[in-house]
Amino acid sequence: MTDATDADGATAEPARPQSPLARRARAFGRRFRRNRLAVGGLLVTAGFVLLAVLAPVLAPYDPAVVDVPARLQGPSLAHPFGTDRYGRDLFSRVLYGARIALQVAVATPLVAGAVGVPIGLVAGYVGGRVDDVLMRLMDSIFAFPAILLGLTLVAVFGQSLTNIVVALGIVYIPQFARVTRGSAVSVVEEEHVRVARSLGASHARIVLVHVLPFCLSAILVQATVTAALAIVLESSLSFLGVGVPSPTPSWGSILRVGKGYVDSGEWWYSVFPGMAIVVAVLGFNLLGDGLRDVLDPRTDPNR
Amino acid sequence: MQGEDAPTNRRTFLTAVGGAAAAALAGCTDGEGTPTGDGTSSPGPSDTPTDASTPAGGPQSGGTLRVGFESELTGLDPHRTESVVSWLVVFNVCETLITFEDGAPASRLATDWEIGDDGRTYTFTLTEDARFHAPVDRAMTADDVVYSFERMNQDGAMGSDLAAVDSVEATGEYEVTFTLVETFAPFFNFLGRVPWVVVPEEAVEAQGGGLGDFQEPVGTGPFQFDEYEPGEKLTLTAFDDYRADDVPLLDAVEITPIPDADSRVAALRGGDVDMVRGVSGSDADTLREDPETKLSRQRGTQWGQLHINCSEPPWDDPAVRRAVAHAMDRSAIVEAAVSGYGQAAWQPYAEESVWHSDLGDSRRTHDPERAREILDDAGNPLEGETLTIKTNTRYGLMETTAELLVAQLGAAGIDAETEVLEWGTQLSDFVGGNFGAMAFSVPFKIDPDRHYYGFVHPEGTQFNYYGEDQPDAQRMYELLERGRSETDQDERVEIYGEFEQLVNEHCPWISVARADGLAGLRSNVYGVQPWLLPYTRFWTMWTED
Amino acid sequence: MVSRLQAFLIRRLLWALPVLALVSIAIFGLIRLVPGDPAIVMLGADAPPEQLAAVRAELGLDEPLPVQYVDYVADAVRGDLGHSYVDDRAVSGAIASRLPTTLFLTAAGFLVSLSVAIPAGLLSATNRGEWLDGVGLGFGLLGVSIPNFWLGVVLLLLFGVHLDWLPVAGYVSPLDDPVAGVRYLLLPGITLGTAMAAVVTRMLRSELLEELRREYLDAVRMKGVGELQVLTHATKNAFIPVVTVIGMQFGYLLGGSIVVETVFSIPGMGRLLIDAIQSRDYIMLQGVVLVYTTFFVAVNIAVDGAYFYLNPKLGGER
Repeated sequence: MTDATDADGATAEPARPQSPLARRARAFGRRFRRNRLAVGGLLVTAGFVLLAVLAPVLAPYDPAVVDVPARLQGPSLAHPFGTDRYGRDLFSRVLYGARIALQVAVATPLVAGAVGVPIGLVAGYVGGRVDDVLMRLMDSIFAFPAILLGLTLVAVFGQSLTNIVVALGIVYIPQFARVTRGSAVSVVEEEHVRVARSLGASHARIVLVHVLPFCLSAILVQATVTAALAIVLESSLSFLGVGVPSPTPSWGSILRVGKGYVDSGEWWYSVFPGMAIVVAVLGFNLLGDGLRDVLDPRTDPNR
Repeated sequence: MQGEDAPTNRRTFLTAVGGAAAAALAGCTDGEGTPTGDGTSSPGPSDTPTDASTPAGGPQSGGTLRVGFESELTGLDPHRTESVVSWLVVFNVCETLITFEDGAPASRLATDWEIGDDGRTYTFTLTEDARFHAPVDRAMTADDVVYSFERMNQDGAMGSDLAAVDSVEATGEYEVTFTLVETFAPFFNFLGRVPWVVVPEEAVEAQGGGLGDFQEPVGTGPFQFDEYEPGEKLTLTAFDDYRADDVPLLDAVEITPIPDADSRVAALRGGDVDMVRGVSGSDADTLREDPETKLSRQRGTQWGQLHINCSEPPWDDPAVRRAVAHAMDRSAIVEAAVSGYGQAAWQPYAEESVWHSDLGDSRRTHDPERAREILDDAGNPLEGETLTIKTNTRYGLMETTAELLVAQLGAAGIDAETEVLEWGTQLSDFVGGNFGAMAFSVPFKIDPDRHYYGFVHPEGTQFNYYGEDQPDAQRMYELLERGRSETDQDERVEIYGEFEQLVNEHCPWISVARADGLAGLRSNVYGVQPWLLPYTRFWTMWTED
Repeated sequence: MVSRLQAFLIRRLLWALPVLALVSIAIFGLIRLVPGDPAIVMLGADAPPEQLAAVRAELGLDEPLPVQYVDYVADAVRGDLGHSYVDDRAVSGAIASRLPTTLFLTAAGFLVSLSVAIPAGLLSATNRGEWLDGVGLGFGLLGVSIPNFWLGVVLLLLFGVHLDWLPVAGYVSPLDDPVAGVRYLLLPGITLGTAMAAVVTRMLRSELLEELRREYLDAVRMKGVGELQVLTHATKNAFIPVVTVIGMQFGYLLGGSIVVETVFSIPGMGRLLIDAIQSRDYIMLQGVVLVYTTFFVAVNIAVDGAYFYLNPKLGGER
């Protein structure tokens, strides 16, 4: 990869011997801090994570407690987001819904990456026929509209949070594979890889030590993108009734019920959970865009 | 019970139609529901009457009624089709031997009947004025009745339904005699249901003759089948030679499937259709408030219950069941599930029904403390246990029952959770006994035998698995056997009264609510006579311009 | 002699067939693993066992899987996708009656998205750094962050319920009544097209910026050619990868239409799919998924072909 020159100009730092990776990490930190998108994204995402983790503490009501006389009430001091059809506090339910979204946002890229990255590495490193076949396979899955694939997989696996995460993970494997392969292909030609090969290092070692680290930035960007997409896909599936099963307050399932009340005036049932989705997804998207800028040496950091 | 007749008075069909104003009194008629698990799950009203307003002008003839149905039409062969919506169409085109008025059998194709002294022979006198539609165009005779029943029973297709019938014979040009294997009180209920309609042999043969081929039904009903574009609409036109005057009032009925609930309501409010079925409680208020639409409501078409497998621990312990019965807050469930269009119920029959038994103070009402008491007395059988209640998201009544019940059990110190299944899976579990308890609902049935026998008796399907080890099991089996063989109504009332007392005592199931059937109408539609059978009777309706 | 384009397309087609086969086998096999007895769903819980067995036999559920599959494919090739016993109708017929609706909806989304994305991308790129660019970028970002079903519900609430300008549910074919058809497709089209518009805007903007920076354009400018012509030239080149993105987005549109049909209660193939899933209608599910798959494989090939055609100097696939 390129040398990250210090755009600050000369500082009074004495030259210290640092590994290429450490130097790159510091340069990364600097560029990150200067990128508004990245910082903004990080803040929003961190906020989302915090709210999700602290939901049990922050929620004014137990999201499962029903109170039928209080059902379908609009936003008020007691219930800032109103109440649902059983009288449950929607603000608390939306907070708890963040926990589901967080689980999906973290687990899906992990699942997709766990399978996709190795595939990409193999395809990029080995090349040739293997590369061709693997990427064709990935393309076939990738060509499927995510929601169609997700729907069919969940319909088959059955509805549970685990199954859904696995299904979503499968949907996003091709992206990780392609992105990894793309980076791997360019690294494979580089000096240090060829040197390692000539020294007789095993393929596994080369891949893990020399190739993989240089794919990490692309993988990281892909992970944030996937996190955003996964949240949207899971809430879409729940909205359609094929997602996280009933008592669990997924934002999508709340919206599903809320839609039935659009005609009769209970607008809060549809507006607030949706806004939560937008905020969470926006955070990841901003972060992803920012990271992409920061990690791509060709682009102007002050876009 | 409203209406001027005593239950055994056999009014003619025609008088029933003439009294269009009687629509206002339709509130409490009993009727029979469909046997499939896939019933229409429309909730119902609390106190307000049905669409009762009759305009000063009185009935007008002419006009086309456009109706939106809640599911697709699936095949129209009367002896083969299995969906409520198809049955509804058939019910207007073909006729049964009898119908129901105020819960008792009334005449349709049969004008009179006699039950033999042995209680096993039923002789029906048929009307001589019934004519089949074109192209058949002739009078209906007893031979047609025999043909229809034999066709229906081809290859044992009707299975256990017709097992009770030993033979059907034409004992005169307009007389048919059924001989039953043994006395079977619920027999009349079969005769009023759709598969038991009379069709002409030549029309069936002309369309192929096999079961399922008769897709353009020809019958004796007030409407004849005009055309059907699959996935689009089905058209019925008035049968001019129908034997009653001024029946039907409408010129035609156009039926379009609109499976999506929101679309149905939107279509009605927008004026694209004149009537829709399957309206939910939350939409009902919107329709009532909109000046261009109104609501028609039939009380108690669905009976919601917590269905229990009494052989599956910990539900096999009667104390557990009794405790749950007291932990349940039925009115909250009714409010949340059907927006008040229903009522809390401890049995499927409403107070006005002859089958209603007064449980008095022994009724297990909402009393969480009593629930805890019962469990304590029984040695805390639920210690460390979590009860699972199966449900689905397709039917609001079932879904809400389960969710609220779990919360209510929690409030009574009982740990519980829902298990949400896909409807097909839940049905399979129901049939296979693969459950401890599930929120369930069944369409209302006129005859109590049809509700209870199948749930409890070991020679029936015994869906509740109420085994011999359960309290008073033998007594309950005995009561059910007597209930179906005894033909005297008053005797039967006593038998089932005792049965309900035992049900209340031991809780083989826990009754939750009676939900109402709701239909939406444009304000210029009149003459709707909702009843407990799920078939809409188009021949009493008219539209005002 | 077969042209290079034709050769390319044939190669892609040959590749597509195994994909379709794989997909159909996968669906077929996976669906058979699903619990739930279709006979009971069709006939109801009280149905006598004899009837249930008869239906199962008719559905061919007793045959070994490979036999069932081969029968299915043989029929499918002839246009018969089976008979749904849950609804008692032919699958092909049901799909055929719904397909035009979904296609119209997809077309509406496509139209909306391009009519927004092209101007937005152009304006953004040519006014880089200024507020117009900011708006474009903002739209791009927001557009991919708002789930389409929520956008639909919000539009519904605003324009359908609150303002009562547009219908809330349902569909009228533009072929039957153009004015009504447009009214019913307006909100769904906007909903469906927005996310795609956002993606295409972003793509077009970045590709265009890339192009505009190219050195050869400076050379062209030095020759005294007007800025507009430069722009046109750059746009044409920028469009090539954008065409690919548009093609990929068709897949998104097709998927998004499933959700949008649910939000606006439009009776298209998406509703058919959801209903089939919820009623365990294996046969319908297979047919619908197969049709969707066929469509976007076809579109993918077409897009690849277009890309190949527009950029022959690449001499092959991307």
